[in-house]
Amino acid sequence: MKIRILIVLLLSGSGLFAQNRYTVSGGVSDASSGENLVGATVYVAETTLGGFSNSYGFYSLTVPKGRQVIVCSYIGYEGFRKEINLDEDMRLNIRLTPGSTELEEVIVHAERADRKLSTVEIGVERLDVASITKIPVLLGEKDVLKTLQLMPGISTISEGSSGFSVRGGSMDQNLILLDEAPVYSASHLMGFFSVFNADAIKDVSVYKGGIPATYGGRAASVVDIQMKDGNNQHFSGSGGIGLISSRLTIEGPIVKDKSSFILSGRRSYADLMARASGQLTENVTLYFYDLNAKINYRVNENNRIFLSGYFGKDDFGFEDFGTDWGNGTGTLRWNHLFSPRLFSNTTLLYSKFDYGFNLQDEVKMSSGIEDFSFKEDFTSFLSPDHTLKFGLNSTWHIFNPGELLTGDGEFAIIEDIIMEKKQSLESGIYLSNESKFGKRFSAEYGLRLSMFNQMGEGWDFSYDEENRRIDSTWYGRGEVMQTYVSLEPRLSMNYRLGERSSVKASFNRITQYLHLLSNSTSGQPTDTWVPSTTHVEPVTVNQVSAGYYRNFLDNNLEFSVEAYYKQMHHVTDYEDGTYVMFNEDIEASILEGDGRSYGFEFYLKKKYGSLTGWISYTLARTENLIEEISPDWYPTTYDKTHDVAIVVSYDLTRRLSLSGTWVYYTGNAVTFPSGKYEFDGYLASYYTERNGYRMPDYHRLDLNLHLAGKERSRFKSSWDFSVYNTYNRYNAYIISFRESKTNPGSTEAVKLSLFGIVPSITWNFEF
Amino acid sequence: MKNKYITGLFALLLLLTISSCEEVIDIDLNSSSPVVVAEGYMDKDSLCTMKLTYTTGYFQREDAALIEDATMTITDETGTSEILHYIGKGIYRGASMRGKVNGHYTATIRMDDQVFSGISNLMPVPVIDSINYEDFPFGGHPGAELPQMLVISMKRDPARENHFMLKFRHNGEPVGSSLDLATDSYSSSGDVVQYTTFLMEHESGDTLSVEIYAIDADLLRYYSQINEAISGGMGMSTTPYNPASNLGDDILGYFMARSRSDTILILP
Repeated sequence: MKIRILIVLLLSGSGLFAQNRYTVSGGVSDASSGENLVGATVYVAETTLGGFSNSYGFYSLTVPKGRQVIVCSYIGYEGFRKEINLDEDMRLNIRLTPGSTELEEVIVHAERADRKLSTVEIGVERLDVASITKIPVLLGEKDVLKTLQLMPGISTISEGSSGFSVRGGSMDQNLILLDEAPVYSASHLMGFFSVFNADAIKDVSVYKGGIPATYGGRAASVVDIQMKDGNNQHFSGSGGIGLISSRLTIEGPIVKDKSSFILSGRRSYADLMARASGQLTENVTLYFYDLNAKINYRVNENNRIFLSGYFGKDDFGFEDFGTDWGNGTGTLRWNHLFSPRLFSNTTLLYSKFDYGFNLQDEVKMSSGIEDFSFKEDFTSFLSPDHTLKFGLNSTWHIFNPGELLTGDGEFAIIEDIIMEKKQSLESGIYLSNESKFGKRFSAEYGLRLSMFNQMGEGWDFSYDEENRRIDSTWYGRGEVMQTYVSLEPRLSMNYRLGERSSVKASFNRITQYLHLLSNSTSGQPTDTWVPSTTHVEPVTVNQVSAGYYRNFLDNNLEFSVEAYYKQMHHVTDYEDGTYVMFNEDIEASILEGDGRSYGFEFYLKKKYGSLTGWISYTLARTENLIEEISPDWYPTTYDKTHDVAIVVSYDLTRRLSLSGTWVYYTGNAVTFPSGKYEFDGYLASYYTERNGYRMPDYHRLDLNLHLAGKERSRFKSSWDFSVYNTYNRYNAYIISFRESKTNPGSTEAVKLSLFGIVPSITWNFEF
Repeated sequence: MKNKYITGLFALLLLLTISSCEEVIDIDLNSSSPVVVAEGYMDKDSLCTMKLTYTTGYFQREDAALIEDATMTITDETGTSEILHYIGKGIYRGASMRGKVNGHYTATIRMDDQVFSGISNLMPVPVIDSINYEDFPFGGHPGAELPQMLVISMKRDPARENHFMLKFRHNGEPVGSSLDLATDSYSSSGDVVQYTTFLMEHESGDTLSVEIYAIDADLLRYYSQINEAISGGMGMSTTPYNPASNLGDDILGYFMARSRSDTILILP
């Protein structure tokens, strides 16, 4: 009976304390747009009592009764300060006013700028979306994922690609969420642009280490992207016209203060321009588009509903041939406050990625993955020193590895290939607590229990040493073919050394049940997602990390150094000569082994003033040990020893700013020939050690000049003049080996570079 | 005028954005200990031949070193064996045993203290069902001349797997930068296995000789793998590897038994 009462009290979050404390709670939002502000600092002046607003802008503080001064701060906004007389639980919604340049000094001093020192977060990068607009990138397209690649520990896969590796992990080990829905292929145009339209995004957080128990399913990182909710105060819009694409965002209230919408679209038009100029025939298409849409409705003070979706596609075709690929996501969320100290979020999710091509409407090929998910998350603000989070989630995955239908016409001679669809259920339940122990030490500790069921209907085959099928078992619909269970502890700790410094440490174990089969490290739409099965075990990663954090110049300069070590089990690779596409017995060709990744990350950031920016440097190593490939540890294709990024932005005048990015990294590991031989009249390469060579070092300078137009009532415009690869260095994209064209009989190495110097112009507007 | 601006802008965009370039570079590659390379054939009605050489450094211009002191034997499915004699230039040849359809042959190489051995099956002679020329089905500006395609159909035996390797010579000169393969696993209809390829530029009356080899599944797999080794690796994609020889470990190349059909086409 007593236990039952305790549970009820816990869930309601009330009555645990003697009545000398009350709870102040509410939402933190932008006063001009009504947009919830994520991660705003809310605290009681002159005390250590405080916290941060959650993903929905909600905060809750339990403080002593009586007169208290509540302070709220958030970068880019004027500070908030209010004296209250607390004699009962109080609802205090905070609206922050965006800061203006005249009030820069006010912003600097009002903000509690030591957030990185005070939280338990380690290995977490939070991207200021506004800063993305100033960072020069390829063809002037502001890109969230490419900006993330300038952070320590996050490296690009290849030139111009939005695919990335986090602390040596492969591309498929990054969980990319858009309003909580997973995005399986985050690239357009073979990786040159990401699918995320920066105009529609409010917040981006990347967890490289110290991943909270809330998240699971991907071994290397979580990229949590939140869409804007839409301006609930007045209609507004923004957009831009560039060389490669244009974008438009419209948002506004449906009912002021209660309901709003946002609609954001982007389309590229290289093909339209080419047709207009006569360079291409009418029958050629080459474009991509993104469409983000969201509405939200505040039912009452305790209930709010959000519905958001994303649709994007790449389309390439000419005459009777066409190929396209794209993502679609949908998120329905219900925020509910059981009490001032118990917040819940209920989510239904849908996500789909598919790829296909069509030839004369006769030959059709398709592949993809589809998810249906349910999530329930609770946050209980037990006390000023304890915040409990718990919840569960479940996802039904449907895998379509590939289907090739050749019809009954002239292509009928090509056999149909129909790969068996697979399905699985992935679930997780978690509990974590964030606690403060005195003034200096805080920790977040938790446990996640994940489970994965490979489900029928479907065949399970057994293979001999030659990968030939020797037995088969049929499972009917709903039958469990294979189950994996994993207990995943999570721990992050922070010890405050003083006002300006802290040390942190973390441990997390994560199990990944999905695998991306790919013939390429650069990520292609033809890559195939498959589940763990009886033959392919899930990847498990144990990661420890530690860091030292120090602020200087009144928190204007942030410095950190982090070290990490990752131990990986059941990492995968393929047997030599394995064909990934349309291979029904691919499981027999997958090799498993161990991996390890370790490194140091250095980060120095200046946050305020005319001159801002950061320097990041990563020193790292990533290796695998797979016996069938090598008896010794060998570097993976994601192994890069040195990775440097310098990002600088300088306000020349009120309207003119110059920014630049310089990147340098040593080449990733590759396999080159060590010899050659002749066979049947052809020259063949002979290879020795796997990944025994390095691509040449890469470096590049990008510049951007931002010119803001004069403000005319509500309409504002600006120009961006960008130069990608300013000193025109032809960095190596691929190095191949062949018989010399000019000197038959001898051989040569050939470097292919993608881009020389690329200028671009973009006109931006908002109203 | 408007078109001029759009054309110029697009040309600038194309020039600058798709400004990829290819450049021959100097690169240091590791040297490796030479590895034995074997190229062995047991063709129908032919004597067995085997060429043995070593690998060379990748940029080495000199010819590969020859292996002149190996002991080679060929054994058929009845257990009959023959020793191959060295005839020069790294080549060993038999004197009496000739390849027969449905034969099952084992080649054994003994050199220094190593022994390599491999098995291959000689498949029935491929039968050409038809050879046709077709227009490429799509692409190009309206009114433009479409490229031509050569479609070769080989008869298929439904009782077994059917795999083929094709070689082409245009006016006596070898054509193609890789091995051409056809298999009923991917392209068959009823009683034929079809192979389709673009016709090279030619003049009317040119000759195109076609050699069609019937091969077993293991040889098909080897040929598929050697095609990747011939392409020279691509630095950023599938990890390059050495095709697995049927003669064992620590050796490159293959011993193969094949049957063959030839035909000569007069191109239109």
